[in-house]
Amino acid sequence: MPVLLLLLAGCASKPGVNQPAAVIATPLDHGLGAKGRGILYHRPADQSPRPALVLIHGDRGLTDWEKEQAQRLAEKGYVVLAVDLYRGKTAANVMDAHVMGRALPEERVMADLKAAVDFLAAQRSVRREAIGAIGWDVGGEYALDAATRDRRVRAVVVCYGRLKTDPRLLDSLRAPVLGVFGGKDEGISPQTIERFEAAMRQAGKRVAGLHVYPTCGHGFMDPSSPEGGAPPDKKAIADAWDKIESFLAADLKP
Amino acid sequence: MMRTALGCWTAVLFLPLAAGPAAAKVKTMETTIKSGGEEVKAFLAEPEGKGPFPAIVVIQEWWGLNDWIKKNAERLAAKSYVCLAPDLYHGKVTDDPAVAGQLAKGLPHDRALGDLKAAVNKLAHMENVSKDEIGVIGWCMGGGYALQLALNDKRVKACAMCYGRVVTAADDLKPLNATVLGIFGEEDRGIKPEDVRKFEAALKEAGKEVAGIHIYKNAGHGFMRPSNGPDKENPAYNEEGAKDAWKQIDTFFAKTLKGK
Repeated sequence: MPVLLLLLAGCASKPGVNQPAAVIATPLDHGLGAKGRGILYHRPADQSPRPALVLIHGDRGLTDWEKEQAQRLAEKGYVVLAVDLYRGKTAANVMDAHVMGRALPEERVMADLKAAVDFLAAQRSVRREAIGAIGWDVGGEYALDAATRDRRVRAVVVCYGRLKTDPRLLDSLRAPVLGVFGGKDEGISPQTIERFEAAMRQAGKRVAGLHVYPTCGHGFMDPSSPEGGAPPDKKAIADAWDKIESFLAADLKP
Repeated sequence: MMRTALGCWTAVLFLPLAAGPAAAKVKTMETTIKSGGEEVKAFLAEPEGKGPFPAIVVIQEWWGLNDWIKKNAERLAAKSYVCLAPDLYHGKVTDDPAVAGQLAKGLPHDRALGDLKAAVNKLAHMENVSKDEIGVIGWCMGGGYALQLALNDKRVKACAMCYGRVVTAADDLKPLNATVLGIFGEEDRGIKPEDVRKFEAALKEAGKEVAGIHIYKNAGHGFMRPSNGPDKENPAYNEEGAKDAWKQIDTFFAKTLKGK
């Protein structure tokens, strides 16, 4: 049984129009020795079951930026579990991020994410048939991976995460996919995005949109990302959020 | 009885060769590999002579197919292996960690694995290659891919992975058909010695051949690469460790691919 630790509402939130989120840290026990963890964001005032999201950080770890995004989505009416794949650590620079990110055993990541879905599905406040996943950077890759392994995931948002180009690897996917990319990303080429789209089509899966923002680099939604390579483009960020929120609302909200 | 006598005789015959200048003459060239519908660039380093020689797929770090990786291919070719290093980034190479990170994170795994299998395929069809003696080596990102290639291609008989991503679940290691050599640094802040030990335990639990899993003291991630010098972002180079690691690698491939 996972142990819940309820922290006082508001400690990770700024006051907004909505009620402040409660924050719950939860060890995700999946029998691989080390226990996973996450932070749960939700509006305690909401009474009826709501859609939920597993939110997955990039290779710098669960930073304040990801926590703000979890807060933001909770304010939109989602129960959000922000997982912490690094178990409390964050990377100080791109070199550290590389060393830490590359080292994560994939099976542990996948076990953490399965445990996260288990956790959400067990909440009385969550509509079990309305669980999605969103991730940035390597978190985007993991969101897609998790959705190919877990049919309970009904919507995936990949923000500049690694894609698949082989349709066979997408066969098991149930969720439609929304993708957001920077045109100046050094690693995700337009060709890769095209191939992903073709592979999704071949596998008979739904792409809700693959949006490339030409002025933006990798990591562009997070203005503190050292990888953007360009000044933050506020318009692009706002547009990306519009796309994400419309997609999630259409696919997860009743 | 006959076989033993013949074996001894062969060994004696080869002895003067081994004692003489060890390095074979090496030819290098840029080549291409057919991978899916694409022609992927690759660097080939091969010993002179008809062979057939054992062969090794050489896998780049997150920087791309740079001079150090080519030099490593040449180094191994001088020990009489045909070495093929595919350009997994399809033309990109960098020495900027911020760019390398994006390249590594953006590379579709299935495309990379396809290119690597295509490299094995190319080697297996070369006249100077003994197709039952194919191995793989990789560093950093390539260390992880070396293991993934060995897990996905049964033609790979020897897998040397240098500080690459490990697999710690025994079930996931079942498809492996290669003997494994692991080279890791104790100070690697990512792949911790405890994860390496879990990997080793999982290999044994899955009943796989392990030639050795070495964790070097005072060595961080990337410790075999001389340009990770003291004034660099990642000052991990450890000369003594690197020397020993190469010795382990040479012994490993000689044993697994040449039967020596």
